Amino acid sequence: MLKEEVKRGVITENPILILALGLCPSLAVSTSVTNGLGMGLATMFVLVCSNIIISIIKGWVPDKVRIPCFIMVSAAFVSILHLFIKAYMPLLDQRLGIFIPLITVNCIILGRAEAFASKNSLSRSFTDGIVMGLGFTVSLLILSAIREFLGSNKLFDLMVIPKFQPLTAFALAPGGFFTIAFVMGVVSFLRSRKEARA
Amino acid sequence: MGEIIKLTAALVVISMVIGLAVAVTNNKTKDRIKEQQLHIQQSAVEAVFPSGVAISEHEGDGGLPYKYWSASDNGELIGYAFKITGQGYAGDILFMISADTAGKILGMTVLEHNETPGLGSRVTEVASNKYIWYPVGSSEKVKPWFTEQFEGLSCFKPIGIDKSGEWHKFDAQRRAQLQSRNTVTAITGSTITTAAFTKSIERKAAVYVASLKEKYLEK
Repeated sequence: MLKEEVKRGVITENPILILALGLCPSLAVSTSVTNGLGMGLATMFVLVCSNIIISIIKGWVPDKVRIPCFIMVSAAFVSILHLFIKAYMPLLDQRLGIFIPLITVNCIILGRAEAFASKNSLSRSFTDGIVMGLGFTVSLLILSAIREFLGSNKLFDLMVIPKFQPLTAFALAPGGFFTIAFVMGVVSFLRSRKEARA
Repeated sequence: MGEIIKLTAALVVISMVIGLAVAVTNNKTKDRIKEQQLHIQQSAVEAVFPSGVAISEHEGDGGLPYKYWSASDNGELIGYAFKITGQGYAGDILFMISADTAGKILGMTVLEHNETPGLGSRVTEVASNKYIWYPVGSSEKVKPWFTEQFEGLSCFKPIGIDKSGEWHKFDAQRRAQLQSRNTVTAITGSTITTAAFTKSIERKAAVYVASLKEKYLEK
């Protein structure tokens, strides 16, 4: 059960690589592994909290105003998270900057609220938040590892290969598109091969 | 009519609960956030002065920076530090700079910037020789090379930009040569970012240093 759920979030319904949600922040923060990890965990926190609250309030929120309500819930958790990050992790705040407040409008949060938490029970929504957050974090780690290594010859801000001349383009936005396209391509190739075999 | 009231009521209730939650968090964290900001500012001030000097904070008016710090060693004035901004490639770059009364730059450290990752963001890059397979804990204390190369230059003379290579790869002889020409090396591919520093030093730091000098000579 748990294994299946994790597989769903990380592989079969991976938010970035399969559902193609939240590409904008992924492009922006995947320039280094540290940023990717910080962003992934921050988004996971907001996703879990907003999924919990939305599955609790889903019964009495009128259908016509559900979207503003969902956005307010996620905005509240983002604001709270941002205050805590500023207070306890000022370095992470400096690195991620504007992208922490922008988690509010990350499509993954609203997407999961609309597609999952507003239709499912509290415990299932909680698990969904965890596994989807995990899938987002894992994809960000893959993308940022490729980009940080090729773009600046570093991982976790430490040098990797002596005398390797980094390809700066990978640290910039075009490199982000290349990397996402490449990883998505690999994932769908593997999927289609598996399906053909089955 | 009844529906509108119901919709409004739902939105009002949710906004109130959320507003309360954010207000409570803000109240709990605001002192700590202020403390952190002061701590960041304090360590920046300490970073631009030589270690072991007495630092005092002042508020300026007129042509002076609205907030500045002076450092003295055994009662003798060493120099001043203040924050200035430069127009970078992507928004303002805020940095702290210190200079002695003759306008010689003592130290510099970048406080805030939004420069392109991998290019302009290298203003804070440390020329580290640490590789990922080195054991954890072998830490080294190195200043970012870009700001370090300004140390010893004069802010009263125009600061030149050299594009033949990067400072951290040069030997001592080449560095001395650049210094004698009052020149810094540009970050490869980020001349605009480099010029943001040299221009704002020429325009703002020089004026501040001159007016601070005047003020202290009056006394």
